[in-house]
Amino acid sequence: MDTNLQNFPRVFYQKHIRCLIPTTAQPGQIFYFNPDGNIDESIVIGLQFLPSNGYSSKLYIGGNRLQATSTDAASALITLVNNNTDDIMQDYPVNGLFNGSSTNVQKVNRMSAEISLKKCFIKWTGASPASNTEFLFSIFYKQKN
Amino acid sequence: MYGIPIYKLTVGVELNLSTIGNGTIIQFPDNPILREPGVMIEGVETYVNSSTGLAKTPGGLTLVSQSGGTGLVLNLVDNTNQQRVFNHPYLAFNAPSNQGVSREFLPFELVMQKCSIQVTDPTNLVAGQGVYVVFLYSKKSQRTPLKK
Repeated sequence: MDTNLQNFPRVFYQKHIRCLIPTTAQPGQIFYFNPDGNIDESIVIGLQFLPSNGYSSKLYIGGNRLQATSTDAASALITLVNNNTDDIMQDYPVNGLFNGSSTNVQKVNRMSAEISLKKCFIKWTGASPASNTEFLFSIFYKQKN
Repeated sequence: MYGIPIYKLTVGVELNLSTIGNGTIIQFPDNPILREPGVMIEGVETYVNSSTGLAKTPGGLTLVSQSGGTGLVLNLVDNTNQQRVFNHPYLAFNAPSNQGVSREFLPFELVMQKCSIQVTDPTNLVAGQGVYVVFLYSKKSQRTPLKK
């Protein structure tokens, strides 16, 4: 375990990644993230789920989609895959990437991994969502040395 | 920086609470990922069924509720047969119940088949519900030496 304060993640670059769960989603179905070349060529150092409820506020996503809430996330498991096609996080609860309330410690999951975004996915475990639901994450990354 | 571990690798393990008598001990199933030589456990998270938790396990079991979770304790045993976690409350490893903090440990080799969950109060549990425990782990090659 890395206990060195020096290694606490600092924001080098940050962007959003998104995964859409359509109204036709069935329990056990998986949905892939949109590929992003910048992420694929970088080292991911932090990841945070951004639900529309709670402190992280609503973001404009446009179209006929709704930003996922933490209640939606209770039916979602995320799998992150690195560029060697190894699972880094396997069936990890999406709400584990979120701290629950504004009074809690801000939780950004610290990582240090080369992630291949096009191989990452969300597994949906709930009933069909009423609207197209988009899961937004903040991803913090740095370029490879 | 205790309480905020680096998520190198994680794997979730689910357990079916098929029997929920008072004092019932339910062993964890073997896990080939965690059994691999050189895999060290660095943190543990547990989940309950809530709007900030998880509704279903990957295998489709309904998770125990927050109140159900108060009737469970966790036991983890390492490869030297030491109880690294002994009868520790299940909810104490639940991040949303603990200001969003995940519990981390000095790395140890886990022997999954010797680990268990014990039911201490079945009042708010239903047979067939599941528990979901996420292990944060690293492999030997990824380990960063501890700073003194």
